[in-house]
Amino acid sequence: MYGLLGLVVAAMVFFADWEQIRKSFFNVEIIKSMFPEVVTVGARNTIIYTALAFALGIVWALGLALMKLSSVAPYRWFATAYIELFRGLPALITIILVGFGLPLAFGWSIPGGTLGKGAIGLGIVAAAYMAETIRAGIQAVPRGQMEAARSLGMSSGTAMTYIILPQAFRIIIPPLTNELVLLIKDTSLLFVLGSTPQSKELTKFARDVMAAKVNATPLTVVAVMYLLITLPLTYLVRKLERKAEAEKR
Amino acid sequence: MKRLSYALAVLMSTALFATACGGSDALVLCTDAPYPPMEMEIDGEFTGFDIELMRAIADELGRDLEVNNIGFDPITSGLAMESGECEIAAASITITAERAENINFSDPYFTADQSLLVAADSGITNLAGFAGKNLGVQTGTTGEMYANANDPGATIISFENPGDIFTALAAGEVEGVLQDIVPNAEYVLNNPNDADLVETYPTDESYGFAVKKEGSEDLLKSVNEALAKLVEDGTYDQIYNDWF
Repeated sequence: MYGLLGLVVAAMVFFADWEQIRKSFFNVEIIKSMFPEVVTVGARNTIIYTALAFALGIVWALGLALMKLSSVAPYRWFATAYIELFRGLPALITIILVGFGLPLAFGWSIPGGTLGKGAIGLGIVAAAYMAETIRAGIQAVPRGQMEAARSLGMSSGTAMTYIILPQAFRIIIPPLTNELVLLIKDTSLLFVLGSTPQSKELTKFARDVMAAKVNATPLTVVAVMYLLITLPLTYLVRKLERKAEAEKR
Repeated sequence: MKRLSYALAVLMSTALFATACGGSDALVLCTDAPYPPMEMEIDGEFTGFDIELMRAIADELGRDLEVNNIGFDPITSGLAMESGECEIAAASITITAERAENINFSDPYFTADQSLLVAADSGITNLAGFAGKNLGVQTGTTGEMYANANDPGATIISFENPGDIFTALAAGEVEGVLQDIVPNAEYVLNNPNDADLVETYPTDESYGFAVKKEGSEDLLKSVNEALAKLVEDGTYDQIYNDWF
């Protein structure tokens, strides 16, 4: 079976039209023309949009998770409805609703241009996903922890903040990393909001160069840029995870 | 396991066979619809000025026309033509020197004058009125280049397609749109109370059909000949009058 796989790979390498690939995906002139803007504008904006959306999303997700676990029924209803709605809608549609729907309906638009609208639009979606992750994390902390904390005289709020949440977040580092990486790639949807030369993120940046040059090379360049962002990030999180694991012992 | 490798081998040879034979003799056209009235879908059929002109050209070449609505990205990356998905693209593509480095254009078939459309309640009457305001343009178009070259101090926001720009206009995110006269005129026609066409700017730029850089010289030559013939015998004008 491995032999066959090797054969398939060898055949692909042999039959591939390398000249064609080089011309369409690795045009050196175009690669050169994209620097430094692909970093100073494209990558920079992708990172800023992601960071802001993630920050907004996680705060909002924590609130939603606590509402979902609340003993007050209307809180639970709200959180459930919110999560089902924004987890069910494509992110692109949510972004359009935030960017164009709000001003159409209320004559008021979120300030801050693409950054404001994009971060809030993506944050709304990310919060729905992360709320479920955080809820699962809280529920994964043994019940006895809360009972012990309460029996020491802590209020339930204090126990949640100092005993339960730190343990819960340790548990959910891997799924939260997943969400962060997804979010990095979802920033490519922000093109629908329109962009100024200074507000383009990586994918939009590539597509604009692509349209000007009629060549696919920009896609290769930003594909590498995305990996340069995500790989160190996931490496960092793995280290963090190992550290958390070691501390537990 | 044996069966799996057998299935794989069959699959691969089928794929090879399919690529080798490359379909029938129809001229496969890539486009990016909707962009009315140049290309759009009506009752499940692709039509519009670009499409109908291309159909007439295919007629001249004695071939059927097959339309593949592949989107703008595969066309603007050149991949649609290089990969053989289609032989030629017609998608209101403006001929620029930069683009001509990587694809070949037919002779120009349409002059793309630029125009300025403003929201009816904006009170703006010309490009200078956009100082400090938001102006919508379409990415990679002559309109975007024109706006940047004659920027009156506006915030120029680029959108992917006319649909997005007009949504932004309706939402008040932009006060006006600078782009090809065709979609602007179409919008004013359909929404006479919402927008006004206030200025037009003649540019020397025009649309061309696009083919891949190498190995399509014969096709390009026959397309150009067919186009010239259609202009001469009045078919071009007839199609033009159908759509404008």
